[in-house]
Amino acid sequence: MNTMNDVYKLSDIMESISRNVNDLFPFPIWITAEVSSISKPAARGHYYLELVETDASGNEICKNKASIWASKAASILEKFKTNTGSELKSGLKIQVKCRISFHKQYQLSISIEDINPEFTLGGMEAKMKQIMARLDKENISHLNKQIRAPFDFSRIAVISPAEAAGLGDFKKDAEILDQSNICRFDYYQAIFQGKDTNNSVTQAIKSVINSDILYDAIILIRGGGSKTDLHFLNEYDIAKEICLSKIPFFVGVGHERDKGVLDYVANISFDTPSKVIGHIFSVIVNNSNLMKNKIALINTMASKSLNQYKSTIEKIKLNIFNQSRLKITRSKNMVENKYTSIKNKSRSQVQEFKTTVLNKNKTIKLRATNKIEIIRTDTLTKKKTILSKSIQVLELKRSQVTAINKLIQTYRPENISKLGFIIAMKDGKIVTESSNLEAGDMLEIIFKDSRIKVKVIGGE
Amino acid sequence: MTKETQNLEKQYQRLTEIEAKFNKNEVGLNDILELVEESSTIEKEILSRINEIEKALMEKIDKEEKA
Repeated sequence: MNTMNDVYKLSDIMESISRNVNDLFPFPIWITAEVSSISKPAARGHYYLELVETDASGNEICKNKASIWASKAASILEKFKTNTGSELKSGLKIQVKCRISFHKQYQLSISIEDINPEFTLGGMEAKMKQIMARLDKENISHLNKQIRAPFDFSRIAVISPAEAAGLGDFKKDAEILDQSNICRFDYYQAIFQGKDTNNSVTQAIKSVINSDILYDAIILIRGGGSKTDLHFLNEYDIAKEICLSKIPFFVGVGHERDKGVLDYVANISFDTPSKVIGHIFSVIVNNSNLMKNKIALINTMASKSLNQYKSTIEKIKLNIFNQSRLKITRSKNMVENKYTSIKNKSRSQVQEFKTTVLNKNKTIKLRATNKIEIIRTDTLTKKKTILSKSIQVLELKRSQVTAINKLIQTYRPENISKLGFIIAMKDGKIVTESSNLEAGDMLEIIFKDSRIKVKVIGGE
Repeated sequence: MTKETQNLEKQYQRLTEIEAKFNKNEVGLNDILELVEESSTIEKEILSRINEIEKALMEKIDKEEKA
């Protein structure tokens, strides 16, 4: 019986523990744990692992070293690979049959003697189902699928592991589009295997989404690998980022038979990266050809429509021509008829007018002749009368002139002088009154036979 | 979605509209030339895209053959 005051040697304690442990685990037992790390085989062919156990939040609860001795390594690792398609690697949850022992010098030893690959596969399947159920419950699993796939592609973000096997093939085809400036690809690197996968891929997605670039799609690809490799991407955080993204996700991370959580939530899921770029290529080329064909069809239809219009216009033109010609002919006939009618009427009217004018002319001429005759007769009569009266007036005037002339002759100075009268003239004018004379005035006295000049001396 | 892709989709939709108009015989004589010009403008861009892809593909084939 041990007491609190007892003192022991370390070896005593270790031997005691060793006994107890060996008594507790007298034969091999099955344990489950996650491979935290696994070393490359040592020179002797032994494998050294570190096993861990984590809680639901991923916090480490405990860890311990384990080993696969060279004698068992080949069969154990081959069994695992055959069943899972993958090497035994860190991050995998495994169920292993172990011999537990405690050595006072090497402490607790976990020696793996067998492995149950079905547990690993089952565990992956269970985890996948659990994530999908959670996303369904949160009603977000369908969100990215419901985003309308882009009509075409101009810029795409590619998330992939560096130097991934499938990335080279993807890049070869992507470069064709990139070089021809049809579609640009921006590559984001992330870890796709191991315990850092969840954080690395999630961060890469966030980097793409938080960038200022409006991508047409985000592509998540990785090259070929086993089911266990694919399982590293079956993480709730990665799937949630995809679900909540407003940009459609194209996933090409697995194989046809191995669908993961990302295939479940992605907008489009492809088997391989080559199929992803094939789809993009196909959409771009198809769209271009589709639009080219549409344009050709439009041109054909436009040409057909133009021909139809041309035909219609030709018909209308012909119709207008025929109608016009008919109308012109009708009008011409009508005009000709009118012309003939007018011509005949005019001719008749002219003839009538001519006859009327002739008649009028005759009448006027006759009347004028009569009038002229009357006027001439009248004129002759008047002329005779005037002549007769003129002669009478002339005779009368002649008699008067003769009488006047006789009178004038009577009053001529010589005749007056003959009667004993003299005529006194002053400055060429006859002086009839003496009051007009003054003493000294010179007078010319006209006698019957001569003229003398006298000077006025005075008067009474 | 990038502006380039949106623009391409608009062009596709416009071509579809023009095609539908012709199919329904809704295009007047005055509109024909305008619509054909519009589709011709789009055609230039599309042919340029196709030419660029073809050119890049040919270069790729040449490189592969030389390799």
